[in-house]
Amino acid sequence: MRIRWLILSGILGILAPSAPAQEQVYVDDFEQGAEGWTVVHGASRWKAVDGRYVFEEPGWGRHMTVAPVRMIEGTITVRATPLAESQAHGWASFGVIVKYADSAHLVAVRFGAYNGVSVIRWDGGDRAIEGVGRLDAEVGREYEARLEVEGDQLRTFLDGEPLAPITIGWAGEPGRVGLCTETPASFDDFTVTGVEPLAADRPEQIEGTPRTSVEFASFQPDPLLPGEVIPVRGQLHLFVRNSGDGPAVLEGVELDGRSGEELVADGVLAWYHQHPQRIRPGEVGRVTLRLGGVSEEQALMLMAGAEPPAARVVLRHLKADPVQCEATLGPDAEPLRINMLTFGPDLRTVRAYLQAPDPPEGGFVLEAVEVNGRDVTDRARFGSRRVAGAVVPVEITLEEPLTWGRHATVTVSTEQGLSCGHCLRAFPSEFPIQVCLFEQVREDSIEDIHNHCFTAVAPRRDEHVSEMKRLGLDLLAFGGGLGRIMQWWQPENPRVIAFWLDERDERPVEDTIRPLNEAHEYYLQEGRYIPRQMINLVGPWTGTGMAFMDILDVVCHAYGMGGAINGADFPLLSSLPWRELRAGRRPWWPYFRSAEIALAVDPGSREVLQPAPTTQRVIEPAQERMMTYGCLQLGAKGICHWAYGIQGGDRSVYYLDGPGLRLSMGGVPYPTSRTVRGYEVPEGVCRALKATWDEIGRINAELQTIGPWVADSDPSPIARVTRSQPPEAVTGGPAAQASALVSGLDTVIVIALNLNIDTEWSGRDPEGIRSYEPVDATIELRLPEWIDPADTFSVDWRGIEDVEATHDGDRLVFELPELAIQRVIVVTGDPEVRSRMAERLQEMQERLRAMESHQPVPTDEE
Amino acid sequence: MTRRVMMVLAAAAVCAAAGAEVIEQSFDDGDAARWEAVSGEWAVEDGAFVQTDASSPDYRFAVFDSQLTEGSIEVTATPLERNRNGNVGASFGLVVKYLDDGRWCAARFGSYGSCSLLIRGPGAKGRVTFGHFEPEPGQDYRVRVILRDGMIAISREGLVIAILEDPFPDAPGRPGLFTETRCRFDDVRIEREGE
Repeated sequence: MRIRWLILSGILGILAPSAPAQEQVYVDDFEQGAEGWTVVHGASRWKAVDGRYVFEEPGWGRHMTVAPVRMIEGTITVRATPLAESQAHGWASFGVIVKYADSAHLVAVRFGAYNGVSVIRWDGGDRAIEGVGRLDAEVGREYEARLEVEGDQLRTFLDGEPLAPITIGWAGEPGRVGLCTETPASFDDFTVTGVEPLAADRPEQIEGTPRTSVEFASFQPDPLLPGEVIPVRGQLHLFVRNSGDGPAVLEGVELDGRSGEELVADGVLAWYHQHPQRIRPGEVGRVTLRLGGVSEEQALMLMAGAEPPAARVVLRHLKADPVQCEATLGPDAEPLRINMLTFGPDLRTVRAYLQAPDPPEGGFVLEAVEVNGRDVTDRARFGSRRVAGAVVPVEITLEEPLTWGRHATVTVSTEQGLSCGHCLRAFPSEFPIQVCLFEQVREDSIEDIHNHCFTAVAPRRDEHVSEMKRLGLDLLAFGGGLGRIMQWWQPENPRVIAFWLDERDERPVEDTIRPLNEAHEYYLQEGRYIPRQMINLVGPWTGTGMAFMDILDVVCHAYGMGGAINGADFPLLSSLPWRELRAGRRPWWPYFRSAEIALAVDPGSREVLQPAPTTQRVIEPAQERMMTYGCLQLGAKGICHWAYGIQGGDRSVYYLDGPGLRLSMGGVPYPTSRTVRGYEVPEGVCRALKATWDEIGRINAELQTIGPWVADSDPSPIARVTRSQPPEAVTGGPAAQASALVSGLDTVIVIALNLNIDTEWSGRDPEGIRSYEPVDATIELRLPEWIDPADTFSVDWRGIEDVEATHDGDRLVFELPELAIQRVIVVTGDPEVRSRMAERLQEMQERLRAMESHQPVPTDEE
Repeated sequence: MTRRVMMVLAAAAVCAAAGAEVIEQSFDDGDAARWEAVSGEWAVEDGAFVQTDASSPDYRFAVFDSQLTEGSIEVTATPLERNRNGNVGASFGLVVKYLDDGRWCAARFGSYGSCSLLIRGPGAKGRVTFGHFEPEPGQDYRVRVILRDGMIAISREGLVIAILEDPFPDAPGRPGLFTETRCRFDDVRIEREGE
């Protein structure tokens, strides 16, 4: 007797449920949808169409969905049809998930990928791919795959033909079954024998009874893009106090009578969530709803200058009575805000940087401050009690340190009755200078990177990791998700700064929320919080990019040439309101597509040909320097680089359709050798790469010197250029610009930048910088009331020097008659700042000397 | 592929309500006489106005025969395929205002995976991108633009996703239909206010 579970009409049916210990069969013909299936990895765009289960997204990646059953031993059969070839690789594919526990623990068989049949096994951080056959999958042809699991053995059959058997482990262990693909494909008649139902989800365990109330609500409208006049997208924040005796876990929300799920399905909300996930008794946390737009009626009211009616919000927490509140969603709903929270090395110090862009007469008067719902006013030092257009720091020293990686909520109330708050995961603030790696043709690449004053590397191989450890470099890994975290976040590895999740806004935000939630939940079971998650956004300033801001810890975007988008008016401070720092209100680490070039090659003659159309030259040293300090003026708190090394040879590379070499940073072992993959790279190209690469080293020395103070700072509109000669840049606009980074209660870093540059950023012009004449500039700094300047000095890689300044009331005036590119001027009331910076610079100068004297070492095969 | 613009009287329902003139076009009788194909291959097929050329990554649009200063235009659009030339993808949109070949703006949905306002004019060539969006070929989408007080509101399925400055605030322009792939348009509704 057989028990057959059938998915017909989208309902799991048991035809003969009374026969125990017999073979059980799960069948899904997808005639009535794909009920019970769960997308677990990659893009969400699986759908049932005309009795087939179809994945259509043309982009690349591994896409996985699992059925609502699991198996220990049994057979999976499915009919599959590749629908298109991979745009990146030129092959078509489909696949089957044999066992799935989570995205870091699974076994899958893929057919056609890389023109083979292979078994993928992910076991935590370990990943193995083993070929079991060959297949050039034909688009449009239907295949039948059968996979038999017995003990730890897997036998694979394609159209009835057996492929090589393989040991997969997992003997006696259940795993969910499913489908996967790396290219568009459709599936039908998915049948599994030996299945068993999923274990019932364990409900969230709550001890005690939470009692929640909304302290206050605030609407954070998205910054207006150039051309936009009224914000319609934004984030509604509700600061929730839990005065009960059990943790508050958010179960659901309603907005104007509609459920959160319904609103997400309709696109009104992108998501909603609560930080931290459990608000402990006595704490305040934050619930945020991400609004993707407003109704047409609301829009017409806004366009008529009227305020739309307040939104009614209901929050439902597990085991708690629902709470209701009203919130104004208008464009002017946030007169006071916390721009940024920073955290000291031991997580006992928190600094909140406040600003009121459009303040009332006399500004807002700060009354009290809380951290996680506890009044810490007596433990806080206020730069000023009054907050208006300039940034004001508030420094809080806690009795107990915050928990590394757990959300911390800071709220501030004012005498005017207005409150504001912010909520970020707590990590010690720091200024990383990171580089990713391409392939290496140098033995000494990590040492070279160290000599160029970097702090962190995204390694590719184990030997990189051991060399990083030897040299004290941190790890900022490229890639994300549970598997990557398990791979790199290990005690034997260098300290992990962050994970770099790349270009996630190319897909809907839910495709990123899912793996992040999985990783958070996996480690929370161990009582741990995962390291920082940095997301590189292709369009950080759009509504889509903005929807990622509250789910990431660090925001990133590409700057430079060759496809990077610096954005309108870079680096004018007038663009600060809509750029990454202000849009995200969290650290911004730009990445530079900087010192690189792609060259076409002729594999037959081994000749190097012309550069790619968009890399006609290597970015010049002065342009790299100007770009770096432009980003610092706009509030960058770290710099990443993509990437060190080389790619290609006899194959195509990014920027080129045909065979080519992509050479980047110090990847060519010049001047020891100009030979890369058997090609002689022109001397001029090698010189250009080395010139910019070494300038990056010198810039990094300066960044390392001031880094800790920049990491703990916020740009404030208290510095300006009062005079410059010429008054206008050669291509129009101001010839110089000054930015003030307020750092804690004792220091301001003024960055003056020469904008008198005539250049282009597309990479299509081989000429590069056409002119960059020095500027004679006068800079004025309006001293914050909390700083009594004891020391004023400038920093560059050559050394630290006194700077003359004229006092004019509460203003310091600096004359910079020969502003070549940038001047970094530190104004501080703490006499120890200079000595601490000097100590850091001395260490960097030692590295720069090693950079100058070091002879590159090519690998044996070069 | 033939370019075919039907020169038959439009089956337009015109009414006046609350000071607004409402024009509805369903194309059920094969009539698109009030539309001018500025670019692309446009024809009435099976009760809808269809743009059939996806041979290159070009803008294709057809504009209505009367102008709009304040009011709105909305349509049900069905992209029929992803234009893989230049990676445009599935695409549809609305011409907000067409003054002449050198001065126009259009709300576009889906092109290159995003929503944007495209602006062409003296010193005003540009694009404001406000979010990711990848339409599914074969699926219907209802989109609308509203012109009011020098502003343009852009709406998808009743949700206004951006309010932008009208690049030609005082100039009337012809509204229209826009796409960069094969696309079907139906149930156009134009409201003209105070004209």
